Amino acid sequence: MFRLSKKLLSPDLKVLIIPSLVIVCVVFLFLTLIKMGYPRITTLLSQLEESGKIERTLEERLNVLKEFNTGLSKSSDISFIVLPDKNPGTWTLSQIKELSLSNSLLFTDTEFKKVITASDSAVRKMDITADFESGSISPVVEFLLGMGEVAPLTTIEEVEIERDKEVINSKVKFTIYWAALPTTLPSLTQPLKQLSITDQETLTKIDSYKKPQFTVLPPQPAESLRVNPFN
Amino acid sequence: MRDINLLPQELKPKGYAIKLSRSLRKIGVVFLVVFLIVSIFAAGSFAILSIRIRDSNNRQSKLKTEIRAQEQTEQKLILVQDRISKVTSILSSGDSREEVGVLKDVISILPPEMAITKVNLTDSKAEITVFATSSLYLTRFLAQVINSNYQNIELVSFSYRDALGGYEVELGIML
Repeated sequence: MFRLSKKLLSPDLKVLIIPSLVIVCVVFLFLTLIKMGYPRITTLLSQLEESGKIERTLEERLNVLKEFNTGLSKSSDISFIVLPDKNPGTWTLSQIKELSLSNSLLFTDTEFKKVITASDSAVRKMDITADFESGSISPVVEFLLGMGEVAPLTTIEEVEIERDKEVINSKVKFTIYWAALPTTLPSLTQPLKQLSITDQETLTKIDSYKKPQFTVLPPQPAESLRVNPFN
Repeated sequence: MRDINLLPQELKPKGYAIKLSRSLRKIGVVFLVVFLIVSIFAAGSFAILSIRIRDSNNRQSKLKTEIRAQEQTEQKLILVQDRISKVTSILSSGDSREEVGVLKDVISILPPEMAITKVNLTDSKAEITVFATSSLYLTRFLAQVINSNYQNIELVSFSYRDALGGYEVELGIML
């Protein structure tokens, strides 16, 4: 056996075999390192990139919230009054009555029509037809211009004015709107949009709308309650 | 003293083998050094990236806590954005507001000798009927209406009412 190896491993081969084995081992280790290390490092790099993106989104989101909190958070109330979540028919009616009174119009009749929901929209609407009498047309025009700037949002669909001797009869068809409130908040990692300049202009516009008068009825004291309301 | 090699000459490697062996050793050393450098670089990158990811995750957790603390503000913002988008959509769909403005303009140029007898305003058109006892006032009024910057003015009807003793004109004004 020894003789065989001695014959196989000539002195030339013996001198070359050790450095060759070292090179082969280093190449093998190098390939293994690349095969195992490269995917891990690229995974870590993509994780870091993703993590950075999320961090930036969160920072932006926090900045948007801080900015909104300092400047415009009160606007949620007016935006809700302008477009509430329930039918604002009674609020609009009170606005019609108040505005017609201040313009010396005699509010003679009103009719609420059926609720309409557009198939592609979450906004629901209802038509209100109101009749008025006045001595001239100018107060009707002032009333209509005023109705275009009241909360809740009211649009003027159609106006018919007719003179009958000395009386001006007006029939106005308004449309009122409401929409369900948003039920979900966007995911934390989703970017949150700031209010655009157009949005802020709309907000300023609706903020100037005439709000309905709300009355708070104080609760009656307990001793004034009637024990037997049938007697 | 002279070197004496007692080994048999056939056991001594040949010159080309010794040269090749030296070259292979050098290559092996270079490979080993490169391997060590790459290994250190890889280990360093792994460690640095892991630390940076951990730090980023910590910062994210902190930001998420701050955002959760502002949940009420977030709800208000979402509500405002939702309402504004819907209000904008409603306002852009159009109504008769502008036609009311047209009626106001017509009233402002109407001479006291004339009167508006009938008005019909829709989101596309303002139909206004006026009555004039004299054709002179009517001509002046119509000239003023034409001079206004309305894109389209229609003369829907023009009639003389003998019973009322004047002219009745129906105009259709479109913006």
